[in-house]
Amino acid sequence: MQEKVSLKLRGQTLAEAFKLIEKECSARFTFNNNDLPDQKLRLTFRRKKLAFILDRLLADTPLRFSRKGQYIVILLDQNNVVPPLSSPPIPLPKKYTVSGFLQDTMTSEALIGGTIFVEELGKGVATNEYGFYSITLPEGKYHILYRYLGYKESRIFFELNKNIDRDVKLGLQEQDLPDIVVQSDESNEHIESIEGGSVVIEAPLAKAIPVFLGEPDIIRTIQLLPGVVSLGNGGFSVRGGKEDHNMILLDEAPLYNTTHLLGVFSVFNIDAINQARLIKGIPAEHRGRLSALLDVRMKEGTKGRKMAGKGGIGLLSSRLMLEGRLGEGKGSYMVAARRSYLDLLIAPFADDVLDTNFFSDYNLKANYQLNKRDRIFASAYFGKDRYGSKEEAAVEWSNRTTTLRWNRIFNDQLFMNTSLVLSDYDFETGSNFDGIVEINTGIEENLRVRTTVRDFSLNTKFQYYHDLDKSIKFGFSATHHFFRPAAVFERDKGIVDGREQRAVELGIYASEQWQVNDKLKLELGTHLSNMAILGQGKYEFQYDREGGKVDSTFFNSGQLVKNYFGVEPRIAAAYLINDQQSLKFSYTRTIQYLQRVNSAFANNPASIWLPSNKNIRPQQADQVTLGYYHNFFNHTVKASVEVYYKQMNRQIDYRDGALLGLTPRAIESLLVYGRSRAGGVEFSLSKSQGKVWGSISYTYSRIKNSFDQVNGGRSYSADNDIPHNLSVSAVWDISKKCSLAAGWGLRSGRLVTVPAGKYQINDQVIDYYRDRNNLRFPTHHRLDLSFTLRKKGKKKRQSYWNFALFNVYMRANPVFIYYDPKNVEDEGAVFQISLSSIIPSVTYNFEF
Amino acid sequence: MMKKIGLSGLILLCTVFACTERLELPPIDPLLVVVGLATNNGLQVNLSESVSKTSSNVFPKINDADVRVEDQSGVSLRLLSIGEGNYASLFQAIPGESYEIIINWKEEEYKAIAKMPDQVIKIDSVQHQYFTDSLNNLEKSRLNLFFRDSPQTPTYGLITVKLAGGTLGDTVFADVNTNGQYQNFRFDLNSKLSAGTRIQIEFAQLEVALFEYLRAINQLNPDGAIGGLTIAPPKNIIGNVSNEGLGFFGAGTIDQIEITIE
Repeated sequence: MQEKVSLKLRGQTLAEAFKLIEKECSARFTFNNNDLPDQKLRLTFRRKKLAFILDRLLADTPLRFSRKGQYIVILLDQNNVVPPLSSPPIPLPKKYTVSGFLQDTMTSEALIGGTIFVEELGKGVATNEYGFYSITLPEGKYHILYRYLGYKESRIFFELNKNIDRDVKLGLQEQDLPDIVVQSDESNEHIESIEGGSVVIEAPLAKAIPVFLGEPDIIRTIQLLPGVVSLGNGGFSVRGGKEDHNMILLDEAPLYNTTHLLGVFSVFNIDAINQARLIKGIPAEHRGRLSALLDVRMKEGTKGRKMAGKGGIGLLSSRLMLEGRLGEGKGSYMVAARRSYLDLLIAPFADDVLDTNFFSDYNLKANYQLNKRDRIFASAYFGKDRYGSKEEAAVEWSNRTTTLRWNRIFNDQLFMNTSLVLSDYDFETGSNFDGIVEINTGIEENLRVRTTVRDFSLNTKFQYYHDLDKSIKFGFSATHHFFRPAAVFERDKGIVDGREQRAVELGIYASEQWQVNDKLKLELGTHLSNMAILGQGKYEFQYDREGGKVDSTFFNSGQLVKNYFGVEPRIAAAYLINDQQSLKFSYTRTIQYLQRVNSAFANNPASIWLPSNKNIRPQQADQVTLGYYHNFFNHTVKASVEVYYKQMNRQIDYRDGALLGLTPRAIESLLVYGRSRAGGVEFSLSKSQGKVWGSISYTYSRIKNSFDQVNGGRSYSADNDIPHNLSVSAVWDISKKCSLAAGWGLRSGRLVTVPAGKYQINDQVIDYYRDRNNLRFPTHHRLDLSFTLRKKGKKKRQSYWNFALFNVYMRANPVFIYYDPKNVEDEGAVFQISLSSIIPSVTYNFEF
Repeated sequence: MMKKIGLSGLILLCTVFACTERLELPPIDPLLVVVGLATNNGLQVNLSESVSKTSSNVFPKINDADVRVEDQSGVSLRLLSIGEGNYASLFQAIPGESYEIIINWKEEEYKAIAKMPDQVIKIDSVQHQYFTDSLNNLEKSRLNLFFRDSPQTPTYGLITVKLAGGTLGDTVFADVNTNGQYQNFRFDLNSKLSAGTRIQIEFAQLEVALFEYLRAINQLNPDGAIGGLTIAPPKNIIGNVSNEGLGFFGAGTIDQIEITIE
């Protein structure tokens, strides 16, 4: 509205005046012709602000204007319309619904989170996580605008006098981006959406920013976001939560370990992913974690072609994805595979490493449209890591997930998704690693230790679109958990020592979002959750505060051991200050019935997951956030400031000196309980258009733990307390063929506990400690650069080379610190292992 | 084990791209370390200073402290500094009595209380034999101690084998269920004693708190990796010295026997 426009009106109508203004600037007008007066105007404006001109043009009319993105909506101002005295009762207009899916023209892939905007009302809705939308409007004529990042918008005229099913397909814009980007578009979704702290990651940004060894990765991209902290192990902490406080879903299946190669890469193959959405809070329809939801959706596969493909060849791994239509375009499939060749690279230098030092993963997905209202999906993921040698046994872990999904449109306003989900995680280590088995069993040979987590879930979600201003979500879920933490088994005899635990988790939820008035949008919801821990035909023990056994009870198999019930309210509000600024508030209470018992190396594949039980109570968190959002330059530059405070109760930690080993037969005896408090402020600035685009984010946050039995009861900083976290990323699209990208990050070091000193008793040197987490790693900072060169071939063929430099100025950032008290020569030496080299990489990517 | 996972998984990255550097931790003020024992054979106290973690293993001895021991009736006895941080007195502690040590050093006062066990356990005899250690196939010496343990209370023992010029080995044991019974305690040395060697075996029955302290030291987790792949969280060995002093002042009844290896 700050644009200056010159305008000369000599007898034109208001409608004609708007058209003249459109020629002078980027604004576009939407209005109902019937509302505009027919009077002829004679006015002249010389380089006046658009807002000033509109104020003058509408001064003597019952009209007002408001800005929605690049659109200026002309509306009847209800306050200025004086109803005639003793007017006859006005019949309520009939309402009709426009509904359908928003899809990609070429592939028919669902466009999740696309906006559907009714120009005449200046309001809109977004597609849900399945690409479905529904708008119920009074009978009338409407122009509806369908938009999605990176796609050409589609403006469709509807004469609404009946319900209309309309699947809308959008085509890609001509653009240089390859395919993962943090979503941002010209719409003011950033301002109007009720969810603060929600970011969508698409395949073009993750590929655009420089990455380690040239392997694009969704988790690495997420770690650039404000409020998200990397601990350098492949996982991430959101707003003071631990890594296991994040619910990570791949096509609705929970993943219990998302790392390959001990965190160097994530399990997400970039070519197999349609979209990832990070929500820094848990929405009402989800449960089971305290801090954040990362909802990753696999590609559905193109319906536009019989077969298409995409892939990449990198220094460490290669990947290939194939997709195509099934039947006569009623369905599609996608298969993707990726494998590292670390074993091949080190084979010349070491024996017996082939087929042991590698990771691989496979994604499969297919969908089929049964009829206009029913659509089914099947997707699966198989991932595996294996390290060590054949002779000496190996460490290996694997994720397997399967999702069967049914989408049903009951009517134009009611959408349902039902999913059957299986998630299976195994971690296994071989017998010749002296130490682990020996510590716990005294048996040393021919044994392996395996940890298993297996979930089987049924989830049903409904979404009811009442009208443009109101929608309701409700549903239920049931999950059967099976845990076998660190079972010892012999190859010939099966399990020789292990403890199994089973639990059933139930949830039912409802939430309603409605537009209270032009300024205020509210969402209220709650999730009722329940966890039933089932007996295993064994004794269950109770432990006192000091970890000693105080009671035991025998429970039959399937008998209820303990039941926990929780109420988890969620409240969100967005207040629109104007079309470029808004305030958002949220409050969430979340309950987590599962616990991950970490070693000091968080996100370790050997970490143990356990359900709550008689000794370990469910974790609970309360989070409050307040955010200010501001868009500049026609919504192409977006800024936000968010503050949050979170309190997490019933957190677990080891008591001092607890020796875990890998077999936690009495792990409850090793744990202490306390609370954590986290608070911070997040700043974000991003530019999404032009030749140079990118983002800057900075977070200042603190996390304090309070455990009666740790640190002498004094409050102490948590190990993931990272006060300063700054990320800068920028991409320069030099031409259609090449681009240059840079990423620079700086963050405070994480905390570890090291001895304050040492002393000697009877010739034995003993360390002593003052405070938990008393040493902060040195500040971590690093610059990465990448250069992308694209080549467009015939038909659909295209390829690009990515050349990257990781750690350009060779900063020695610490990976871990160690010391060996038994090493006499080094005595008390403490060593820091750092990645200090500049690491070049080259990746070749292709599409056909 | 987890280190091996790390070495396996990060083998390429760490060997090609990593560097190791020694880290210096900030210096700290030294703390007083007390190792004191009141026995029926006399009082012995050793005082030293703690050092920072990254210093070499040289622990300064304290020879300028004022060390006193006070009995239950308030009678105080000053221990003599005999060098190398050692303070001693020939005063023989009485079984069943409590003693408080009071140390004044650098204008700070440190205190600790020890209680003597109720009686002295006598070693009846010691038998020596050789055995082959299955772990390394080496022949070593084994001592069998015969004694009758305390009739009413559990026995918490510290057995020390001394050779002229030093200690050959020591071990702690607890015997809580066999009160008043005849015991045969087997103690395997880490070396083979040759014929003619004269050794001294000292049997100390310890007060429970001292026994727990020594046992905690023996059970210290040796894994030193931090911020990496370690599992055990840190633990302090809690002594009984006030004012942030480290170490322990304890009491025990001692019996000794000397044998010559045949």
